[in-house]
Amino acid sequence: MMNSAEFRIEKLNDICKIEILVHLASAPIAGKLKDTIDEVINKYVCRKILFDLSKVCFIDSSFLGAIVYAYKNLLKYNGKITCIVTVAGVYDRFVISQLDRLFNIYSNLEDGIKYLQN
Amino acid sequence: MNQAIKKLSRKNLEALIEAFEYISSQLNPDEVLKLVLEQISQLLDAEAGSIFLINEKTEKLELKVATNLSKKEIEKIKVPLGQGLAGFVAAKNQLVNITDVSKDERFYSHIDSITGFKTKNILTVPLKTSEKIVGVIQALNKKNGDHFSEEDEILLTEFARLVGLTLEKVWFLSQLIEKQTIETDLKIASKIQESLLPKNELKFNNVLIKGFYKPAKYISGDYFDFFIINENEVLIVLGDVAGKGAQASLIMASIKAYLSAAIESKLDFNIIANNLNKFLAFNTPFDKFVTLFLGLINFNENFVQYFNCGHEPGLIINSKKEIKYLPSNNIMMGVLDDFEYIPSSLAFDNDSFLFIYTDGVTEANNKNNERFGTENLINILLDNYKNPLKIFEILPESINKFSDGLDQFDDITFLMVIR
Repeated sequence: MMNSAEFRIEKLNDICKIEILVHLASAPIAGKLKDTIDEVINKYVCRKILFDLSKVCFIDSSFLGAIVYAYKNLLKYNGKITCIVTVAGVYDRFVISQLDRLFNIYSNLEDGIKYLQN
Repeated sequence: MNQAIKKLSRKNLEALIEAFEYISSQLNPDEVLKLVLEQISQLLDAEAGSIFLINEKTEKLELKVATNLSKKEIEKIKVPLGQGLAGFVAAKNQLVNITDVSKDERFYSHIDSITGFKTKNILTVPLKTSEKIVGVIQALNKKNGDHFSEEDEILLTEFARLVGLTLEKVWFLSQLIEKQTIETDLKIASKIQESLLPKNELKFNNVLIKGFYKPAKYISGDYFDFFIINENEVLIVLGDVAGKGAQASLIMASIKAYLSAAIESKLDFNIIANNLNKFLAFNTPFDKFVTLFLGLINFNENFVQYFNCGHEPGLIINSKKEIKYLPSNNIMMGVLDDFEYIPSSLAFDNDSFLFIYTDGVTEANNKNNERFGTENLINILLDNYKNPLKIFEILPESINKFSDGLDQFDDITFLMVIR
């Protein structure tokens, strides 16, 4: 799978972990994330995606849109996603948008993996 | 004048100048290439000619014009850099004069097989702008003679140099014209978008409703509006479409159209919200959603019923400087078509004001990458609670001062209902 300066992609059995390596997750890389999601879902037929946002300090609506894009794409395959968030401001963003009602958000990788495995 | 050009005969030198004058009269790049093709045959006394240009993305030479080939046939011919004769000349930046193509394996006979033309000899030179190689020019089959001469080599090289300069000029002009056209279109789109927002404040009994809108780019995905429902009720709306630019602004325009039609049809507040979500979920791309605040204020019974769909919390501040929040109570719109949107209610008395805003207000940043934040916002709201209208001046000024010259990153929009 394609790694880049912005993302590191790792396969953990049937889970695909996309680690976001930038601090500011905003519009300029949201498009690249969508391409990566397409590749992960269509080319590698992955139905469980874990977004590791533990390095991210700020997230804008375009980037959130890319995560929603993964969620909506996986709905048709009964797939699921989760996000690992450690920065309070980023977590608040998920809570305000109420995306935490659609999928679980965790502060550590182990819990995120467990959620996707169940 | 360079040394090589001095070797040209007076006749060829004059022909070269005339050819340059001829091609430089055109400003359209495609037309320039057609004129160049004509001139190759005349200048070099060649049976045919062709021009390839490099596509930097694919790293292939693409045939752009050629004698005896249709547009469809031309579009099919693409040569990887370094391969074939044209690819070799472009990659090596080196002229190649083949006196007998049957003895040179770099010659690519495929084009001959399409056209039925029989190439015997061929002269290929690199085509350069002032900065880089952009393609190759070829002259095929010398009419009077066995092959192209040393003087032909100089002539075509010098002609290619002049073609390169001409193309550089016309490409630059085309880009400039395209940019200006886009800029003009965006200015028009910006005016159309602004015309979709309320032009004036609304004075409704003793209530004032007013919005503020400052897009980061020409067009944006922020939106505010207000509609009189009856003598006691007003519907207010403030939204932010994920992302920016034309796509976001078109979604914003469709929300305005939907709401106008729904209110005209006297639909129930609950139905308006739930149908709007369905409409957005079915009609927007997967990565688009809308954070939206929809409020129905009843001034007779002093309360506001609201859907805060993934939006920043609204605030009500009263004359005692007490703050009540209207937090997010539903998911963003356009994500799930079957999500049931349920409103909340809150008292909204006289002598108080309601403030709703998009995240461009609190997320405005400065050179130190600090955010304006909710604390600064609330301080401004509380400092001006006796005269809330001043917030329309003070808040944008404070954000501007905070940003300290840094370009506005997000659209800034807010709406106030002052009782």
